[in-house]
Amino acid sequence: MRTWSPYMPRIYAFILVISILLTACVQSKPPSPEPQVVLAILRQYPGGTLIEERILENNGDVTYRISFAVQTTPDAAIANYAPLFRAIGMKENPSRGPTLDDLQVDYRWTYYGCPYHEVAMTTTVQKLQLTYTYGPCR
Amino acid sequence: MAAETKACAQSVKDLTDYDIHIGDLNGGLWSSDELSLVFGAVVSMRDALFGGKIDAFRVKIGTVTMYQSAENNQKAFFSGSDKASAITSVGGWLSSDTTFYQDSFTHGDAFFQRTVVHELSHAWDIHSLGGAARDLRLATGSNWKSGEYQAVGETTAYGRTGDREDWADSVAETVYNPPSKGTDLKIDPARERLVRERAR
Repeated sequence: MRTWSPYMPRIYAFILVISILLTACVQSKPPSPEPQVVLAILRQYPGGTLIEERILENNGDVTYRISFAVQTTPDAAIANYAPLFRAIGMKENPSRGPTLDDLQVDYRWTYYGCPYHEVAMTTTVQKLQLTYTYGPCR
Repeated sequence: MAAETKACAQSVKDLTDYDIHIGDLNGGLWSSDELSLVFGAVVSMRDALFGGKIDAFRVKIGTVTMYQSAENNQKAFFSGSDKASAITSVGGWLSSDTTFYQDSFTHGDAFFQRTVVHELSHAWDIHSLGGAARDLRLATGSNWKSGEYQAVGETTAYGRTGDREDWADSVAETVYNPPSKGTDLKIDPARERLVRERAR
């Protein structure tokens, strides 16, 4: 037989609050973007000429390398891409390690969900290079 | 006994030696080829990290029960992964349950075997009460910043989504594409060193 405890209302209230918070967290996350949407954003850079686009690997994860011939700065490139990526649910990834070919990365955006997506941006004097990887979570 | 059943029984027996158990044999989803791929991945991991010793593998990884789901992918609520193609979670005390969803099998054998090693690395982390992922953070200077993982040094794109994924991908890369031997490197030598130290 179940007995009443003075702690029961508090426990139920605690569970209710946690449930509401978790539900809010789950609902606030936009769905994982389609790769074509991310690629459409990446393929345009004001004043830039697309000079390279290639798929680098395909073993579950897919990686694209997209390069523009353009004189730009990291700040200008971030200002261009940040609102577009934010709109599809990608956030700044604070990791600053190198990417493929040991290129130093200026900025990264990640979609923290599944499939996951990551865009790494590298700027040099005459070139803007973007490395885009997506794949299934595991 | 049909050849397929016999081949499945042999793989199940082989995996049991490593304290890896197939939890849903009666479900009819596992083929002998898939079980053979699982065993192949286990052997690769044993040879690359544990000097070919089954006992060393068992001590580090702990008991693992594997399942296959007919679903394409599934929400892994506690890991924050929605639509994951494979999930490893705490099974019992210091043991793990791994479920492979159909998406795991759709990217080729190499991806599936790498995923098996990746999931066993989560089991390894669970068996060490999270010590493996913690040690990777300490060894590389990586940390969490405002709720996002800040990976320091070189790791995979998926590894940069969190420290547990960084650990699991570092193990998978050490098994299949170690910096000490490879050319197309995805992780830095510090990560390989840590994985090998923890395997001792």
